[in-house]
Amino acid sequence: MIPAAPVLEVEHVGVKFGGLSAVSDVSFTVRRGELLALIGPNGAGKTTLLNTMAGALAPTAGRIRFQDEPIENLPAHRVNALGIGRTFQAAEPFRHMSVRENVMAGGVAAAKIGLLPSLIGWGRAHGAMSELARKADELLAQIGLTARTDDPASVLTAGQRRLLAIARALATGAELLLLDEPGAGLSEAEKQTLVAIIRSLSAAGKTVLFVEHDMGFVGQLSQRIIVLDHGILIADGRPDAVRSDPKVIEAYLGRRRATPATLTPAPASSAAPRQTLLRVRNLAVEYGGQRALDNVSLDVKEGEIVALIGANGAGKSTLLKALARTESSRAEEMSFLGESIAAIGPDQVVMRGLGLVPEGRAIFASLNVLDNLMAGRYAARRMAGIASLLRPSKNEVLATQERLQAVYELFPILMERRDQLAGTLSGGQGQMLAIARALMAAPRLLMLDEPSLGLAPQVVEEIMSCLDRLRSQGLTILLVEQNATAALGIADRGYVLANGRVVKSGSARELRSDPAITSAYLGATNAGEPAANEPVAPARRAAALGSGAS
Amino acid sequence: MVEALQILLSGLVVGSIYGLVGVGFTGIYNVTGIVNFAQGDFAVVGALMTITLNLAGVPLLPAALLAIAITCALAAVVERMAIRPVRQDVIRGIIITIGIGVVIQGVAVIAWGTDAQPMPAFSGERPIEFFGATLLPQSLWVIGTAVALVGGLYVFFQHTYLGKMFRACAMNPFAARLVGMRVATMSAISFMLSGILGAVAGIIIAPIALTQYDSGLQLGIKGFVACIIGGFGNPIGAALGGLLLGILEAFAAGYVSSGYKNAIAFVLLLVFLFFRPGGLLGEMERASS
Amino acid sequence: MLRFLILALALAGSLLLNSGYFTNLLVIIGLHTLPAIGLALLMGYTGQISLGHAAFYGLGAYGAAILGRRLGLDPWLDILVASVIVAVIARWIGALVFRLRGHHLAMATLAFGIIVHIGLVELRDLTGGPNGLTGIPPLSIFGHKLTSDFAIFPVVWGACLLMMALAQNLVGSPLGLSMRAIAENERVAASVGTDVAAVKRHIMMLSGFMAALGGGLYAHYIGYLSPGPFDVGFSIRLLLMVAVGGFANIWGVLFGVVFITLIGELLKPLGSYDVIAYGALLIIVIIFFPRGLLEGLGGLLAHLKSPLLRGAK
Repeated sequence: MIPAAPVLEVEHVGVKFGGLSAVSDVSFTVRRGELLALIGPNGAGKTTLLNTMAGALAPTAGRIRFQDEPIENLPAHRVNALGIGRTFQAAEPFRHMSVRENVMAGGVAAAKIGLLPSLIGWGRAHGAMSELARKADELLAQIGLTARTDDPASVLTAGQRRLLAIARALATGAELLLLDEPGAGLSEAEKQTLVAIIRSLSAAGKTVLFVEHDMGFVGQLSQRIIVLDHGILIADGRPDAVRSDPKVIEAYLGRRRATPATLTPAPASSAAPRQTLLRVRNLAVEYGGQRALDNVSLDVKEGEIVALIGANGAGKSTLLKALARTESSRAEEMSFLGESIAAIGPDQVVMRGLGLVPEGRAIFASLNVLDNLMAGRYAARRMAGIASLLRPSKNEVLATQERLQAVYELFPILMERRDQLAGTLSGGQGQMLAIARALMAAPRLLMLDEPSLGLAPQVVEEIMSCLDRLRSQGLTILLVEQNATAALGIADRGYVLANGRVVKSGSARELRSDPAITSAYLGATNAGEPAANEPVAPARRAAALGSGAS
Repeated sequence: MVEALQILLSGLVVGSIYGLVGVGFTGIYNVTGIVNFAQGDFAVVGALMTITLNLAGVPLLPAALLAIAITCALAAVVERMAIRPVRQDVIRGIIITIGIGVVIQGVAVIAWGTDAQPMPAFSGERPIEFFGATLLPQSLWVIGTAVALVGGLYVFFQHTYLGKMFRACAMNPFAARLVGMRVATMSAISFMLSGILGAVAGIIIAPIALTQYDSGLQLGIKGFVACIIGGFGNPIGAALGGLLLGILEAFAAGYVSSGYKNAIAFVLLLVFLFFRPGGLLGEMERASS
Repeated sequence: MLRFLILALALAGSLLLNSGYFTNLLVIIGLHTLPAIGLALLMGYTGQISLGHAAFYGLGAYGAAILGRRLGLDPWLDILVASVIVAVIARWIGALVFRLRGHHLAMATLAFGIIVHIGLVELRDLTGGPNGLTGIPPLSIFGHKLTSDFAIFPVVWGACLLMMALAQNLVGSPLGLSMRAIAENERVAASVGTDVAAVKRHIMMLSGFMAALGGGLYAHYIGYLSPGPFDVGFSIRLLLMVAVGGFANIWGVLFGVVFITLIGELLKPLGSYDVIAYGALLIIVIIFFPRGLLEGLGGLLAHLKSPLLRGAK
């Protein structure tokens, strides 16, 4: 079969932000009519790459050609005029317009009506609006939103907004569609609708490239998968090949060893029954119509390390933020040390002994390391009274000294660099600083949000072993991680999150050897594997996600 | 030569005021992200209130302190009533602070009329000789107070725990919450601090430059220019920016025309905004949470 | 279309009242509506901010007067030419200034407005300095000079109705959709092919034209000019009119102009208190009535009505 003509050629594209390489030397070709998925762990550079293709960002290296024309330096609206349409991660409809007007807005540029005719209102502009409306209605019928045509776009559900965004991009006359996480936040039913629509677009001759995390979704749709990790293209091929590619598995789950890591979790049996520090029942979080978390329940007992794992977009970060009270939520119960935390502010959560090390470190860049650590004592000092903020009491000075010593012992590099500006630390050092800062407050339970993000494997090991040590010193830890191997290596128990729900829980040992985990991340890998282009049947897909018995 | 020195000195005096107002801007912007268009009006209120109290028989220093305290309270009220409701929306915040400036100005007209008000100099009016140029004692008060205040603020923000925590709050409000800071309280305090700075600026310059109900907006804009030149974030930067602006204005007035001297600030503003877009936020970056 | 007819009839009817005061008031309202509509298109529909719009009004006024004096142009012509020149200037300013966002943009427009004001005061040879220009000839039709309020009324309101109609067309056109898209989300607008920078420049140009038209008419109506009225205060009052009108609502703008002008009249006996009222009104409207006073009050009424209805059951 003669391959179709190339439509998009990405050649050695690189993007650098300051000293950081978000994308390096990525090359691939997209052919007319292909359905192509772009996947990769969190922070891999997928959206950045998409932005360069859409003209929203100019690559610092390399070239991009669309239908043989170089587009790497064109602004977004010119790229669109040439025939590339895109959607955004957050759907982003025009909230103050109706659904129909949203789609019409997409067609305006192509209609090419100037200022003067628009002012005069007769002639070209007059017919143009009704023509745009007609075309919009056609597109809305195609994607199934006709019932909502006259409603304001703000009342649409998450799934409907994604469909609207696609219709709007189609209205521009685009031949190549770049979809950024079209399935995020959608219910199963909505995802099926989306799959059907994308398939029909492909059948109609459009070329589609989409970024996704939901591997089931990817499995149903794509003929070809490109995998990005740390900005580098590590795989490009048919779905079955990609899914069993060891590099891909390692990128998602962390390096697997023949024998478990040298860290062995503390013996599960313990003489005295352990106190439940954190108790959550039926927690739900909604972002603008989307359910980020639904019916989540968990327990964390004293002295444990509990791991929360799952693919990106599963809701893990949201869960921690809800517990730290920087995100609003609804729950039947949310209590720490026996007292409800559902209605208190984030500062009080810290004062009660529940600390959070956020995703991306969030350190104070222009303060030095020591000042960052001292910031960790803020809650304690404020609890001792406002005066303590101005001049610390003797007790406070002693407590601070003790905590600093403990923290320096754990992370000697921080003592070495205590006068260095925190913004100049390396990724791993910054992560250690963030953990150390949280430890300064002497928390009973420490929550960590993806500490391994963007860090090299050796550094990840170092941090995990630190967490292990902390546990043996009596700290309780709730660890959110995409890197399941590393997390389960030190944890006692774990919960697996997918699409905002807990789909599995158990001891770390059970979960470590559970093939369902791999499936939750990458889709089915065992026998009975569907052929490359065949959609995975819904029943098998549900099993692959680990919701049934393994 | 002597003339140049004279001009330089008067530029330093005015520039100190711009610097103080600019530091006030920075304080609020860093914690809230809002540019307070009423900043200059804090100066006017401080000055006019001092004058009134003084005329009513209160000695100068207590009158000044009382006026500063009242302006500080006013700033807190402004933050609570007007800024908090629209915290996120930048444009609405701007328009509200404009409205506040207008209201303050209106009240000033009613309370003090439209005529310029004089204030007695702090330590007499005998000019001091300085390398051939003359210097009013009040000028020393202005420069001295400005240096002391800015110096004090520098020490506060760079070398004290609480000052560093304020900066942290601006750098990363999300992380600040996680270590137990109440961002809303910090915001209110930064407004009060700016109120104090504004009032002091207005009071110390009042004996030299007559204070009038509408001096506020111009002063505010020039303070903003000082920040743009010096970079938001560092009080030293705003202070230096103010000095530079004051000197440039003085030289323009001396050698070109006094009518155009006001235009200097605005032209400088436009030049900086156009040719250094985005790179004007100084050292401290506001992390988006 | 119907609304325009009703308005035209109402305006014609008001002339029959033969009230000098009332007609004068309506002329002022008309003259202010022109720059207000331009500002609404810019702020309400395209989402930008301009704190210096009085500058375009002033440039239009002085421009018409100076062109008429220096080049001997007929008043009708010098208004038109001045308006076109100011439109071009506005376009350039837009090209420079719209790279900025948020408070940088606000400050830049404010600075621009003040610079123009200073220029009007300082360029004495051209503008007559603080004393301004006098002896500006009135408009005339077939030799008949339009000096009275009654005479200028149809001209001013003719221009107003025309500009309102054009603005309405624009808002309802494909370009209007682009404007609204830009106001909501420039990034997304660009992704569907809108040349954001070009649209902003166009609207700024149009906005400047309308303001200058108002200014030019004002010059030939009053007969003399001074820099005083074209200051920051006027820019802020225009802002207030647009805010009360709901920013993105052509007819709302008319309401806003009427409302603010009437308030100004009511407060005149109170002297300086009017400034406070303007400031307070601005704050209240922005916080509590972001979609304009009319819509806000309507919503409030509906809110109050429903418990009454429920009680009736």
